[in-house]
Amino acid sequence: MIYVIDDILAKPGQGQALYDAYMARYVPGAEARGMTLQHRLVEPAMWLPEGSNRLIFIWAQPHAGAVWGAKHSARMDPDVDRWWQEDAPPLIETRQRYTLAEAETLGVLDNV
Amino acid sequence: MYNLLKVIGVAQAQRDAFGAALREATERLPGARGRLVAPTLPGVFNGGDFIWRVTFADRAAAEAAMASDAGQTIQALVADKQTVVSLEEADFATGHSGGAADAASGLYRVAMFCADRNPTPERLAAFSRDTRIMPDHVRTIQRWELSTPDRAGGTMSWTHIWEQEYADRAGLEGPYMLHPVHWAHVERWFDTEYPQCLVAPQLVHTFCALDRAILNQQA
Repeated sequence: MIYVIDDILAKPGQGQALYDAYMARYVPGAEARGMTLQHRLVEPAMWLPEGSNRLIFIWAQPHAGAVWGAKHSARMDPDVDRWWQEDAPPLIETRQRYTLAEAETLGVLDNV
Repeated sequence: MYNLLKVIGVAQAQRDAFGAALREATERLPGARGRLVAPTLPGVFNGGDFIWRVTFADRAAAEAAMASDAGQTIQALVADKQTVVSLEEADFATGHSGGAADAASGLYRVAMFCADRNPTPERLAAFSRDTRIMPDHVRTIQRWELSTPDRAGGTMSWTHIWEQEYADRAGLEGPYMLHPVHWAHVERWFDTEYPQCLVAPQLVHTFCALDRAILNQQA
C-alpha cells in the first residue's frame, strides 16, 4: 500500500472551513481518481475559533500504477489546479504533501 | 560536446519524403560527431514524428554546420509549415552525464521540461540533484545526460533536457516509471498537487529506436 498525506495548517480560525471545503471540493474528485481517504485527523482535537488547526488527510493507493493513474488524471483536470491555486490558499497558512510507504515494503518497491 | 535537438511533427502524407530528405542532409552536415534521425515510436506524448539530434565538438562547430549547405537544407525542411506541424527544439552543451559508455543500447528517450514555477536557484539546484540520482536507482538507464539549453523553442521555453538510453523499451516503461525514486521522490517537482511543484505540466516525452550509443560518448 502507498500513502499520500496532505498535511495542512489552516489560517487562524479557518480550520473547520478548510475541512469542509476540502471534503466538498477536493475529496470527491480524488476518490474518482482511485484514491481512498483513510483518515481525517485534526490537531488539536477541537476547532479553534482564533488559533490554527492542523489537518492531516491520509490517502491510500494499492500500488505505483494507481499513483500514476491518479497523478495523470489530476493533471488533466482543471478543477484540481483551481482547488490548490485559487480555492484553498485563502484558508491555508502552510501545507505539505508526502508520498510514503510502509517501511517493510521498501525492498519490494525498490526491486523493479 | 554541443548538441542540437529537434522533435518534429510532420503531416502524415509527407513523412516518408521528409524523413528521407532530413537523413540525407544530416549525413552531409560537416563536423558532426554523432547523428540521430529516427521516427518516434507509438506512445510518445507531445513527441512528434521524428527525433533529430546531432552532436558537435562545440557550439562554434554546430553553428558552422548549420550555416553550411546541408545545414541550410535542414533549416528549410523544418521551417516548411506545409509539412512540419510541430517543432520542439533546443541547442545545448552537454551538462551532467553518466552511465557506461559501451552498454547495449536500443532505445533513446528525451524529455523536455520548462521549470517556470518559482524557479529560484535553490529550487533549480535541488531539482537537478534529484533528477541526477535517478540513474543510481533505475538500473535500466544505460546512459544519461541532463542539460540546460542555450536556446530553446516550441510550445514552451524549455529549461531542461533530460535524456536517457535503455537497452529496450521495457526499461523505460517498467523500472523507470515504477521505481519509487520517480513516483515518490522526483515527481514532487512535477506534480501540481505538491507545493514544491516547479515544472510546467506541458512537457515533451518522446523516444525512438537506437542502434548505437549517442549519450555520454567522449569522442
